[in-house]
Amino acid sequence: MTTLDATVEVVRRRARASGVTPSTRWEELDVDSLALAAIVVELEDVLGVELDDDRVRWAGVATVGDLARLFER
Amino acid sequence: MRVVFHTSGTTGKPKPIEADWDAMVDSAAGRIQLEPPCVLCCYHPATMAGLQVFAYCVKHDATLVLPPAGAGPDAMVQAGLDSEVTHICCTPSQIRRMLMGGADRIETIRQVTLGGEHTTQATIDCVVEAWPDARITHIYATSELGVIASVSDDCEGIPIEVLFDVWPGSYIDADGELVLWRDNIDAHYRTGDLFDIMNDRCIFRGRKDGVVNVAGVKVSPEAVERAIRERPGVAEVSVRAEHNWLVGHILVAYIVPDDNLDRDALNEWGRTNLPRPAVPVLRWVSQLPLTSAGKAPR
Repeated sequence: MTTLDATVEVVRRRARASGVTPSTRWEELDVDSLALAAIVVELEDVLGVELDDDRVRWAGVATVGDLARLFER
Repeated sequence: MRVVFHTSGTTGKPKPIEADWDAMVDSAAGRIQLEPPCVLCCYHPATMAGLQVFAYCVKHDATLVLPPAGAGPDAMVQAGLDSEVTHICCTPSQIRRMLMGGADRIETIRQVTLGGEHTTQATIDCVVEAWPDARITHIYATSELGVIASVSDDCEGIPIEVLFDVWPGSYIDADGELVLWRDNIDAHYRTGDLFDIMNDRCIFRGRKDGVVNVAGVKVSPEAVERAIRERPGVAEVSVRAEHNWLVGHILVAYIVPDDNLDRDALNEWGRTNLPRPAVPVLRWVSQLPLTSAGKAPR
């Protein structure tokens, strides 16, 4: 499973939404900051990567694909 | 005899406390006077609780059984079996771990004394099931004042009349913090512990300084932990607050599942029954680490 696949899967499950794609924006899924925080923590567990706070803070993570790319760096 | 110790409690800098030696020693094993007791002490002997149990054994001519240094739950159970202990003194976290490791095979148990952490009803029920004829005592204590209340009625929490009869002038403030009146120095002492009153009992909710801010809402990890522990299929759980750049903190629940746990159902229960900021991210583990004091880490 690629990082993007894992990201889509976690977002789909957490947001309880079908049709999640890399270009899906958080507001389309009704994902607020609390939900996004939970998604990031779960993805860190799934991928075995811990994101640096500052990197996330300034990255401009607007879409599901943006988040996946953050984990790929 | 009055004695002065330096103790740090669970964490923090060592601080001097003054205590009555006899009262401190007798409280250590639940004030039971069965002769001759054989006491399995799961606390490290260098801790305050371990020292109390040691002194109790000396005073009452009891046999003290200390598991090997760094012993896990299996070794503690084995020590209890080998020595046919009659008493166990430990934390609720330790007894849960020991019961998972077959502690109910120690058929000689007559007294279980739990301290150092909050004892939930689920934990008491497990101990009662393991040893139906044993006396089970759970102790509420602070580092500074020693034992505040000792309860042996197989129910969670402290009966209101017990707490406020023993500590007249004490009260629970608007935030839920227990404030004790210290007669000997004519002053109030803020325990830092939060309680709810339910069915005429004071039920520990968590530490006041353990409350964290999640997305602008105050949340007690200990309260969430207690709620999850009551769910079927949860063998062990520890809920911790982790710093989070987006929302201040986020709760993470480390869960040891048993064979009956329905993970999807537990997730759904959290979403449905907990306030949204209190819904933790779930992490599945095979075992929870305990601190050197035998407590769940915070």
